[in-house]
Parts: sequence; C-alpha cells; structure tokens
Amino acid sequence: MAANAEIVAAVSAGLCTRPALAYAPAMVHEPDDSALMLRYQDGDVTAFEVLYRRHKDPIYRYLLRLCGHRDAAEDIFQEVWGKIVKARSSYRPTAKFTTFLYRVAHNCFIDHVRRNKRHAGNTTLEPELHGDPGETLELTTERSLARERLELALQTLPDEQRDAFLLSEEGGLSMDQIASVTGCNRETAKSRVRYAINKLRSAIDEPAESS
Amino acid sequence: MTTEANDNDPRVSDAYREIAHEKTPAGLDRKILAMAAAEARAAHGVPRTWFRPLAWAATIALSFALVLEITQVDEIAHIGDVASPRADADLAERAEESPPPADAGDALGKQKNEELMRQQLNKRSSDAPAAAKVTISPAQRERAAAAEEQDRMLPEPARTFAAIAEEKEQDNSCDADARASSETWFECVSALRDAGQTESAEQELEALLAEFPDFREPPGNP
Repeated sequence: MAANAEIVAAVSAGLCTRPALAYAPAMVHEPDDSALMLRYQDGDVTAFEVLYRRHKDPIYRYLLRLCGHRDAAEDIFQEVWGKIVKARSSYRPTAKFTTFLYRVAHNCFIDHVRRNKRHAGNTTLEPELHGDPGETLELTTERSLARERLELALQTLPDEQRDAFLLSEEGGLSMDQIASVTGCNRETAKSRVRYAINKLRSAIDEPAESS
Repeated sequence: MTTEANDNDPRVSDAYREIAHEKTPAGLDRKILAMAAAEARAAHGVPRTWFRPLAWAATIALSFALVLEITQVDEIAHIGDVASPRADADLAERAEESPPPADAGDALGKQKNEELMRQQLNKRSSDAPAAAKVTISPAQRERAAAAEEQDRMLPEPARTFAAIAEEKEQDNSCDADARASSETWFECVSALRDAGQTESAEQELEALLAEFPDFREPPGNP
C-alpha cells in the first residue's frame, strides 16, 4: 500500500513515467521525451529538468546493478547525462529517446569497464532489508532472504544477460530496442533476457539451492 | 514491466521491483541540473550577444542594396530620356578624333560611324547612374552642344544595299529607249502622268521640250 501511494504521488507530480505505471489514469498530459529534448535544445532548461526527473532513477538503478559499485555508478551516471546535455545540439528525434539514453548509458558503462578492469565479480551492493509493519518476523525474514537471493542471482548473471534484463526492467525497452542498444540481433537479445529470467526464477523458486 | 520477455513471469519482475528502490543522490541531481543549465546558458547566451547586431547589420545592408538596385533599374529604364553630358562629351571627342569619311556615299564608312555611335549609346546606358551624379559645368554643356551639332553634320546613316536596289526599282525617269524619239518620250511622260507621278512627268516633259524644242503636245493632253 505504501508503495502504491508513493507511485500515485510520483505520477501526480509528473516525475515518473515508468512503464509499470502505464495503467495509471492519464491525469496529467506529459510531453513526449523527444519534445522535451527539442525544447531543451532551444534553451528551455525546465524541459530538461522534467526529462531528467523522468529517467534519472531507472537509469541510475540500471548503472548501479550493471557495475555493482555506487561510486562507479554515480560517475557513469554523471557522464551519461553530461553526454546527453552535450548532444542536445545535434539531437534529432529519429529514434525513441529512451533507446538513445540507454545506448549512451550502455556505451559509457562499456568504456568504464575498459578503463577499470577490476569491476567484474567485485560488487558492493547490499540488499535493503526492510519489511512492511504488519508482517510477522518469519514472513519478513523470508522475504528478505528472497530479495537477497534475487540480488545475488542478479549479480552472478553474465554481463550480457544482466544488461539485457536490466534494459528490459528499468528502461522498459522492447527486444528490438535492447538489440539496438547492445548491438546484437533481436533473437540474441531475446535469448539473453529469457536466460536471465529463467535463472532469476530459479533463484526465487528454489531458495535452498540458490542460497 | 510490460515487455514481451517477462510478461510470462511477472513474479520475477515483481521480485525485482521489491529490491530496486534506489534513487539518485540529491547532490548528484543538483550537480547535473546545474551542469545542464550552465550548458544551455553557454550555448544560447554567447550567440545572442552578436546575433542581434549581426541580424540588424544584415537587414540594413540588404535594404540599402535593394534600394540601390531599384534606383539603378529606374535610371537605366529612363536612359533614353535623360541626357548624359559626360557620355555626350565623350561622343563629341570621339567624333573629333574620327572625322566623317570623305566620300559621303561610302557605305562602309557610314556603317563604321553607325557602329561607333551604337557603342557610345550602349556605354552611355551603362555609365548613366554615375553620370547622373556628376555635376555639369557650363564648359561641359558647351562641349555637349558642340558634339550634338557635330552629330547633325555627320552623313546620313548608310542605306543598305537592298534599300538602294529597291529605290532603283522605283526610279520613275524615262530610260534611254524611251528618250530616243519625241513620240516615245511623250508616251513615257503620259504613262507617268497616268500613274499619278505628275512631278516626274513634268520633269520629263521639260527635258523633252529642251531636247526637242519643236515638239508640241498633242491636243487633249493637259
């Protein structure tokens, strides 16, 4: 319930347009991402603020789970938005803005990996262990363990599969868009996502084996 | 999420949503928004400082060029009406330098003169705007008048060979055969009269009487 209230509040504020909220009533007419970017191109800073607030959290989580380090994620995050800002003069709304944004983020992450070889298998993310107030201790513990297992399974996924899964979950990208961002064909992208989901499902369903 | 891959298993998506609550640090938000604002100011502020003066300068320059162009077109259109003293003076000088040919009937000389005059007229057209701005002194005026007088004294423009041939065809005088005897000559005079060329007929009659003083017109003729 608390989460729902938070989501409704975010939608009302016009700050969040994640695909998970697509069923929410169209209370506020929100300008298109490309339109906002074009407005920013013309010098409208408030348009950029709307665009930024719309995408900042999903892109942050995408980078955070991709590289596994908060500091590194923040550096890449800053680099991504710096590139978006600099690219505004040459921006043409030929593709969906989300695809463009996540392609920039993906490329920045690849550059970061090339610069810092040590990122692999050295994650510092810890799952947030918090439960609803009404839950019993047993249920809370069980849910916490499930989250921990999922987080662990996510971190142990191969980079390509984790990338494809996160693009699907955080960016809400279609298979074609994932293929475009990651530079592979559609079938490859689809199989990566499928493998990732299968592994994560196994981690959720079989707690004993996963943990 | 509503992608085609995980529609089949919303549990994974829901489980992921439960762990994915991270938000960007506020400090990072401020930093990025400040960077975006600064970039927008830099990109739109610098050109604006010189865009406006440049735009004004371009507008004024284009307007001036347009007005000048329109003025020139008007002057060229009225060049036939407007006398150009400088060009006339040039023409006079040229005329002095190249006197009219000795033989007035020399068609080639006439043609050359015509050509020269045409060139001068063309030059006058192109020089007209500049000439219009020149102040005309009395001396220049006299020279121009002299040049015009010289023009008048120049031989008539040469006639073309075709024109001369045509004129010859229309020659109304009686030929040598007709002038062989007074009767045939008078018949020619009568023919001219019948053709309505009374002047030529009278001239021929005078010539006939001078040649044949004893000749008397037959009665019934005017």
